[in-house]
Amino acid sequence: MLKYITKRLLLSVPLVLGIVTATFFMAHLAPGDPMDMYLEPQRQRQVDLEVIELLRKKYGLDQPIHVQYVTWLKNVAQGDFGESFRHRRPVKDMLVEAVPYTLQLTVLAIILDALIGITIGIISAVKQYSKLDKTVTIGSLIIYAIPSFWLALMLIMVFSVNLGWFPTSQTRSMHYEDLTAIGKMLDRAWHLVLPVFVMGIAGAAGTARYMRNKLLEVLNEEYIMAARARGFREKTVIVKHALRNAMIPIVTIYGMSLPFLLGGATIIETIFAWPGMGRLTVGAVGGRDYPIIMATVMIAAVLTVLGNLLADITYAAVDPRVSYDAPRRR
Amino acid sequence: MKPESEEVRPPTAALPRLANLAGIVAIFCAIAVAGCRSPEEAEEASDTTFTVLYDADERLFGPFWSVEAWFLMFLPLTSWDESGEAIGRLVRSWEHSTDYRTWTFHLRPDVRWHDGVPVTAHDVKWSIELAGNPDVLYDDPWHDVDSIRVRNDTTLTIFYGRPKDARNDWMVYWPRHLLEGLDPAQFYQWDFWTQPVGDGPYRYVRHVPKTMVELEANAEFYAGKPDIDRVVIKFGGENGITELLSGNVDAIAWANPIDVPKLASDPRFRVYHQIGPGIPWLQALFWNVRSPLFADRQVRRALTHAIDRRELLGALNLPEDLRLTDVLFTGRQYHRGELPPPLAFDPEKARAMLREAGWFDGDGDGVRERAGESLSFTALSPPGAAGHAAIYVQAALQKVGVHMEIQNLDMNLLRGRVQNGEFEAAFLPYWNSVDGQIRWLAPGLDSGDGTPQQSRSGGIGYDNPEVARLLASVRETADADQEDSIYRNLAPLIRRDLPITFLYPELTTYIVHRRVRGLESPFRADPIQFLERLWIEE
Repeated sequence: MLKYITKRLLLSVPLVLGIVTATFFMAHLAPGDPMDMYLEPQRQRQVDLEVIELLRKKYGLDQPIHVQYVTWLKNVAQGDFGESFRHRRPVKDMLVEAVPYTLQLTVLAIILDALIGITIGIISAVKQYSKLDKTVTIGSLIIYAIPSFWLALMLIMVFSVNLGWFPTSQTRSMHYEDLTAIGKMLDRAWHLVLPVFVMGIAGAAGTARYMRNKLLEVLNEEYIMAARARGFREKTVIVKHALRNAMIPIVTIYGMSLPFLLGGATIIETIFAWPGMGRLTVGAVGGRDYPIIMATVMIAAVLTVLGNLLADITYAAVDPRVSYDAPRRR
Repeated sequence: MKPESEEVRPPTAALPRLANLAGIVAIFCAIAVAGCRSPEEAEEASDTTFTVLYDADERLFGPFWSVEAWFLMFLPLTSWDESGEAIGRLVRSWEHSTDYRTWTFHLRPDVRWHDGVPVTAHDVKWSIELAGNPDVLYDDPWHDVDSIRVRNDTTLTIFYGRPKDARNDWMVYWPRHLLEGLDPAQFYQWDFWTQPVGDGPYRYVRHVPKTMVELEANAEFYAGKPDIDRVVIKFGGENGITELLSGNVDAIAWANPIDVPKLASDPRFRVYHQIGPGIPWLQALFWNVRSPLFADRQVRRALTHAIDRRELLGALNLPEDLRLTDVLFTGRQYHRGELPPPLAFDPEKARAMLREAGWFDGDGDGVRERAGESLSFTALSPPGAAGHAAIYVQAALQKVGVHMEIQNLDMNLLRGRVQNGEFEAAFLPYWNSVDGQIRWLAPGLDSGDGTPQQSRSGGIGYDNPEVARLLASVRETADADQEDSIYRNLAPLIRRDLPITFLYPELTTYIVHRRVRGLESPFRADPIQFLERLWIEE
């Protein structure tokens, strides 16, 4: 297994390199000049062209693109992601602030997705064609079809603006510093409810559908009938025999869903003013802030590769037929 | 293997119990209740507190973007009043040499940093020199400064390399006694920016990272303690409307004009539009004068006559009494209303002028032609309000037999296309300063040999030696009266040639709770910049 993981990690290096190289050239070759941010009407003062040229030189934007690429690659290899053109701060510092917020959202969304999706999928499968199954099926289809940004806005309108139950945005209350340790924890959780729910619920609807179908497939297998015929309790049949087999493809789906969750986080972070990687990227793309764009793309690529690797490892853990170790010679 | 001898139960036994679900709901309710403020707390917090949503973070008092917020914390040398005249802030008076290259400022003796240390001319000198440090490369106009001489604690003289109105700098000054030991190479990362010690009307109290910063009125402020005791700047972006509607904030900045009608009809709020200060940006329709369609100024003027700019303001939810014009102007002329009126909306005249220019609708398809070529073109447009303006203009031109296609582009792409001359017409913000004017109308002035900095094929292609000469003379003076006079001479030339049609001034829209008083559109509408002059009226 260790050999397999090492091999996969080594293979992921050229993959990530390919992604960031393509992104670098696409971003830099696209029309538009990052220094144009100094010419925006939002700035009440305009910067002298002489200063803009000095900044362009400072950031190496006056160099040919291949030189810029090699310089960027060298710096990244040393752990230096450069300095944001807009914020004039090291990108590394900004990522250290933003990434934990995005991970909070995505990890909790995956957990919520799994908890709700798998549970509902099991209920639907076990109670196939019942009223509950039909209600859950229609409900999950509707939720799956709702765009997450619309759902987020509706939830904010109902639960924040009208009922005042949850905050409209941000990660903490304004009186956060005055709270006790438990109060702070609850406050953070309170702010997580709506964004995590929006991100998790759409995934849960898909998971529920998938789980239901897989479980029904497995429940019709002969070994399940055999287990029932041998007098096992239905709970044991479902949990110990059927569920474990039905879960195998679900594990793969979770590994593959990470890039979609990161993409979804961009929208949710913007709506909820959540200071994560997604919001950082949106601002950077509009302003051609190349160092931030490159760093966030690289992190997303690495997380996606790791997500897939994790899925494969978990796959081996839940399916005894799968082994990544070399076959033993007799 | 021995089979398990358990009793077979119905599948429902495997389901989560309702009790567990109820428990989960109870936890969420507890979280919600724990997070909600009690009415008493809310009452207490709203008494003399002004809460505003702002797209920033705890570094907003640093040398980044939030110019308005700086002025809560730090003082500039001067500012502007509603008539566009400079007024002293950190300084009480000033004088300049006849060539406007030497300025002497006399600081107020009663201004102190929030830690009690007096603000001196040494702080000003040190700040300007720091801004010019190659490691800092601050984006304010420090580079015009040749040298600075401190005459005493309250007097300093700044020597500039060219004539300059030194009161126009958007510069604030920092406490030397707290910062001079810090590494300039780390300037943008200094912790000081998140816990600043300023000399402005409000002092820093605390901040919650990525959430808010709290300020309190400075009782020692030279102009007296501001009426509003406490200011909370809450950080946010696209969530302004929901924050406002849920009562979390009293004001939002940069509101989308599309939201204005709904909020304007809500009795809780008032809508304000801020212009300037100083020289305003204008939303403009750039004509590529090199294009055969727009080479004839008669056509450009005709198309301008076809657009009802007053109605356009209404369509964009902007105040319909804004000052409009077709000429270049100084900020002072704009504030005083000393502007020649714009070409009148007159579609009949537009049609007649197009006929005179040889454009007729011969085939009856609603679009004019001349020598087999139809009067049809593509206008580049950014998203947002300018995009809506483009749709309005498209309909207006259609009525006089002109077909305009709209191509929506990201602002960066659009600006690049216009700079390279790769366009027919474009909706673009225009910065009405001498640098902005020269950039588009006389780009040859920006290079020593007269060659335009942007390539000869770039820009709008306008070339009028008299306009270039007058703009060059603006650069040679900093005398406001003389500038006004030059712009009066420029006005008829620009109005005749009309290489750019100015549609409306760019405004910042603020939605503010009605309990906040003292704001007025369009020159005193920014609740952050003018906070020290506002008060709360329940």
